[in-house]
Amino acid sequence: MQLMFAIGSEGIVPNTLSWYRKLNFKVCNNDGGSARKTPAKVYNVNKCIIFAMAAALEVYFWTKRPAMSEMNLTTYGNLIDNAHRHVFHLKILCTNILRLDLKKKAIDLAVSERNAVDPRMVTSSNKDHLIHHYKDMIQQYGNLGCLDTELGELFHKIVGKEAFANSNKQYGAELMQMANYVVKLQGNLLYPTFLLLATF
Amino acid sequence: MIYRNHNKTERLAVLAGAIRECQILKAMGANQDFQMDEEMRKTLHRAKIEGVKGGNNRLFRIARWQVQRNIGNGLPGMLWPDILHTLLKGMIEVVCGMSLQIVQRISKIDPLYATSMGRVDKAMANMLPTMQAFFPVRPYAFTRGIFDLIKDKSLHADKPVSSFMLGTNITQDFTCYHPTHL
Repeated sequence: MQLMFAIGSEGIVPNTLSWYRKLNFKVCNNDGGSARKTPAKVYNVNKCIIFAMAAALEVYFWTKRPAMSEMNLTTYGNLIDNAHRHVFHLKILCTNILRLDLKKKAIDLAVSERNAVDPRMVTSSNKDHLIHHYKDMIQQYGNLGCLDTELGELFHKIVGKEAFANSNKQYGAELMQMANYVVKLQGNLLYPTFLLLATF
Repeated sequence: MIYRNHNKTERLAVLAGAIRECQILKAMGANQDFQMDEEMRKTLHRAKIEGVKGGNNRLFRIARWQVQRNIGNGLPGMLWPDILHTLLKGMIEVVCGMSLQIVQRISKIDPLYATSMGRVDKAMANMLPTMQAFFPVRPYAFTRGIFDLIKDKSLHADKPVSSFMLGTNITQDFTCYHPTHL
């Protein structure tokens, strides 16, 4: 959300279609350097990024809704399709911009062919497809509030970090240094608490 | 956008897993007669481009009326959604990473936008909305900017790079909402 506002402000990325033509990059193969007639597709960068971010965030907001009717679920399915298409356009734009070879001033069309994935896929795993099952899942299980994995991950992270600090000299030492520093600042009042935190 | 027949996908996963297993056995010296066929290569390629991990998953053997009657929900439809790992670490992470890569790349290409990376960093460091403004998205103060978080070679490369190089935890910083930060 913050990134969307930051990138969306004026002058961060070009908001016209003609900026790319002005740069005069050659379009060629990686091997022979022979010119190709078809230019790379570059969309309006600002709109492409903003649309993709807004669409993906909208899906997230709708996923966090406490309740949905059948009508809402239909809309939700359409929103997922919409987000997928916008992110797909962003992927095309990103690959086309990353193809630019800055030293040669040319476009390397062989770059995306190194990654042999289905061009319709946004991520390199089947997460894309799983998102399209959300509608069925909500119909089967109802509200997703209690089924979210974020809190469990957070607790796992905390437990993992604490166990790691106990088993790792450097990290544990850093924690002890932080505790000693706070003790120096605040006197001996909080010493038992921080000692407990550092060794727990 | 990507709709699948789950019967076919599961069969593909089992086949690809069997082929991989034969390859591994041959490399270990156990199954020397095995030779890769053209059809086997095609199967492995198909599994790769569809993002299917080959292997004989035991969950495939559970009797599931959805799959057996070809209704189409399949194994993924039987589970509740893992929002963190499919949506946040999937689509939203890809969007954030690609957007940052585009900003970085354009600032190198076009002198008109040379300062855009710094401007994005500055905006991210200075933007502090109220805590519940974007619920359930949690606002986060990026004091060192956003581009430090990307562990990506493309930020320093002059050569073209692929777009699947996002080893980040940006989305967790952006979007994970939990009550300890209230």
